Amino acid sequence: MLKYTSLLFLTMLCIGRLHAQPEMDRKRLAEFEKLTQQRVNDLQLYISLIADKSLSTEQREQAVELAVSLFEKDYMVNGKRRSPYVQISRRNGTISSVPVRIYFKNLMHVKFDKVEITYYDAAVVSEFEKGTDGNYHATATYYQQFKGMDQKGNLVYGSRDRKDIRVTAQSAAVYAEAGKEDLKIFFGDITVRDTVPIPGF
Amino acid sequence: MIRFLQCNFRCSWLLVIILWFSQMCHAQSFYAVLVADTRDASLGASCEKDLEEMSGTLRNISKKIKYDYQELICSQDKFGRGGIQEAISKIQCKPEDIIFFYYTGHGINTPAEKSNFPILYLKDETLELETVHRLLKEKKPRFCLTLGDCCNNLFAGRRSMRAATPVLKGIGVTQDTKILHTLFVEAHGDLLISSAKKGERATAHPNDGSFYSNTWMQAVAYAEKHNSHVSWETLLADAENRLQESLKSLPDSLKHHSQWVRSFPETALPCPGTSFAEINRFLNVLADEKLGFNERNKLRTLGQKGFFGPTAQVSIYMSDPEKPVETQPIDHFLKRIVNTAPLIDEFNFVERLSNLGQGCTYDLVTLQEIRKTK
Amino acid sequence: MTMNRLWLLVLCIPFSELAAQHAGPQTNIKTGVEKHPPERFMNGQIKHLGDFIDRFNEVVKAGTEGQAALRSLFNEDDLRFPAHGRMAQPYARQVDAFIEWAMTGKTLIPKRGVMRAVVGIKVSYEEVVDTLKVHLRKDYTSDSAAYWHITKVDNLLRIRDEVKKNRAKEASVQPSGLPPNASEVSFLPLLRGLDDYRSLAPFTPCLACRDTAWQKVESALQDGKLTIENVVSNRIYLTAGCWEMELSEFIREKENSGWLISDLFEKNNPVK
Repeated sequence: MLKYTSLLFLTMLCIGRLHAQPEMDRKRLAEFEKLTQQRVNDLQLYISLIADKSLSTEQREQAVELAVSLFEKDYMVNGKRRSPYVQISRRNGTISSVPVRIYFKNLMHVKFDKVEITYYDAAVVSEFEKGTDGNYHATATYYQQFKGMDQKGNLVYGSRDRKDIRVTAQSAAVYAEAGKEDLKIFFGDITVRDTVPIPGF
Repeated sequence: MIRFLQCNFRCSWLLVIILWFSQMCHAQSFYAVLVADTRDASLGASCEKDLEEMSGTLRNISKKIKYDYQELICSQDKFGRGGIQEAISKIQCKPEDIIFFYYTGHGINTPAEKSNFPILYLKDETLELETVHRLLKEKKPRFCLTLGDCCNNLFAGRRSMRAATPVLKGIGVTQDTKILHTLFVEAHGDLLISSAKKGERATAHPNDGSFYSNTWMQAVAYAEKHNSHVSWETLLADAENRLQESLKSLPDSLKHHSQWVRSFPETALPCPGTSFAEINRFLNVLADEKLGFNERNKLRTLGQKGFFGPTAQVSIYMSDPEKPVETQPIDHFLKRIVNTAPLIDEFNFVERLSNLGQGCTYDLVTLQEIRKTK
Repeated sequence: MTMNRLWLLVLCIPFSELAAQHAGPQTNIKTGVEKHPPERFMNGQIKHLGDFIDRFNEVVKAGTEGQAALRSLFNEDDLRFPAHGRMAQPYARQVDAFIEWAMTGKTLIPKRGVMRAVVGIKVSYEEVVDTLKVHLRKDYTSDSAAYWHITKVDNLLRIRDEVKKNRAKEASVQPSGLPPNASEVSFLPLLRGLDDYRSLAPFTPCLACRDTAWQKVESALQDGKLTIENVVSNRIYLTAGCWEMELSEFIREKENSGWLISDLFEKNNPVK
């Protein structure tokens, strides 16, 4: 009886260790917030590179690849393949959604002769909060101005948007060792909302 | 019996005294001659800072390698040819001792001067750095290092002063002294260094010290903390890389380059072509936005094959190298830094936490990526 | 290939810009890529609910000195506030009372306290467009994990009584909860979840919450008669003492923007 009880106890202990989700240290989480900030800055830069028609196709395609790599991979839900989306809400009430990869590809081929994207030194990442899936969740917010021009430099389309990105820090079991926790940062859905039409447009 | 005990007691004390005395006799000395133009109107504050930092650094080094630190400072009233000669005369050097001479102040050079190394401009007098080095070598220490951080240009001009973010410096609190031992205890010979080549002007920050002195101290601190192997050649190459990183926003006419001459052969490293200095330099070149994308992209593909294994991983940390925040495949990492060059300030490669695989290429690279501050 | 040879090879490649520490014109990276310093509204905007809570608590702790700052947490364009040529309405007096109470500094909003939301979702039922109101609450597990879940669904009048065959599916889907920051992205995870599962069940762990209205909407979803389109409104409710604040997101280019108080309720005194 004692032997079986001990065995059961040991088994419970092992299971406990496998499934335990110890709370992450605040200081360590702050490092991941800083990393997320860097990755948001990277994304801002990639978007600018993708849209810049004066750059080589090779560089723009590399930027697309790098931008996409920041996001969660496709996943299956209820038998359906899902990927992170960009949902764009315009002040005129129109709302459109497109998978992130398609969004970046479309950005490469916008029908303007010249595109100018301005991004602002104001990206902010909220604190990470633990979810019931064992992962940590935060929101990154930044602003961007988009101008599409014709050959003569006349403004054809302009917008200034606020973008909110869901960020998930997934527990990376492959890194987990006794006393060490590690997370992998992934971007998820993006909501885009325009603030006002850009001045002069 | 009592006499026997008394005799043993006296003998024991005698033995203790002899042992203690022999320790004192055999303690090796680390002589630091620090010369700083702290009274100069433009450079004074900067030289004061250099003096303070270098004194602290050398004191820590000598403590770690268990040498008796002997400091001779020539600043204020003692700044000048006389002060330097007096300091040198005080050095009672033994064959196992180290002499470290450091100068921070103005320097010049002339077309007639044969030496590539600067002439120390000591207000109403001058003294060639090479002459100082020769005088110190005549003391026959085991290792002699002479470092001059000053201009080396063809007329006595103002040193370039510019604002910049102070660099990380300071010998770490690690207990491991292997690197410092390699540099200072295992070295036999002499080393002469200047912060600027002939015709160049060195740079200093008004309050935070000279650029080269800072990057030199930074290179020593990082090598001590991050390396498993080092040689003077790789360390000075790393200090030079760091200097160029700190100067990269300056126009070319204001840039300067360190130079050095050593009398001893280069320490054999396991894989000299993939030393930490080479890796740091490669990564910093890829992140140099002044070079075009096409050039850096070509360098990326070449360098990747030369430095890293095909499945190499890059482990990136924020503050503690033992606790990375991200791991990326090498191909992805290098593409990323080529594209995000405008955001990157510099890289610090941690050799001791990186793994060299077959063929002298790295399978695991641990590094810190420092972003530009806003 | 040794490193020396590698570097030699590198130097043989004819790219003039590398030879020049005479840095060439910065065309390749910089063209069209511009980073600007932030505009005032970008820094002042209350971007996340956590920021709102921090600011609220800060001004409350400041006491009477924080009055102006507390007023700035309200939507300044609210027509119920007095303005030139406009009389103050009862709401304005209510706000004054709230501010006076808040200045006593007695109640802070806990960072990890319970939060409610009411989300309006544009739907179409049998091809007629309508708005479905979903009530959610943010709760915490015993190991401090946060999640949003559905507590109530307002019935759509057009949905007829159809609470029948789909109970088996309802029972089989495991509740999962929505991520804690779903509120910051207009509850997009809820929208996508409803579309993926065609069911409210995964987001309604509370069985008592599955009332008749819930079941009607659930049936319509499972039958495919109810199509989810997009979120049209997102209101968050925070409690401070005996007051409940309704927060809405104001995306506009002025400092008074982001999450702001759009309405106020005194819990013991219903608004007349």
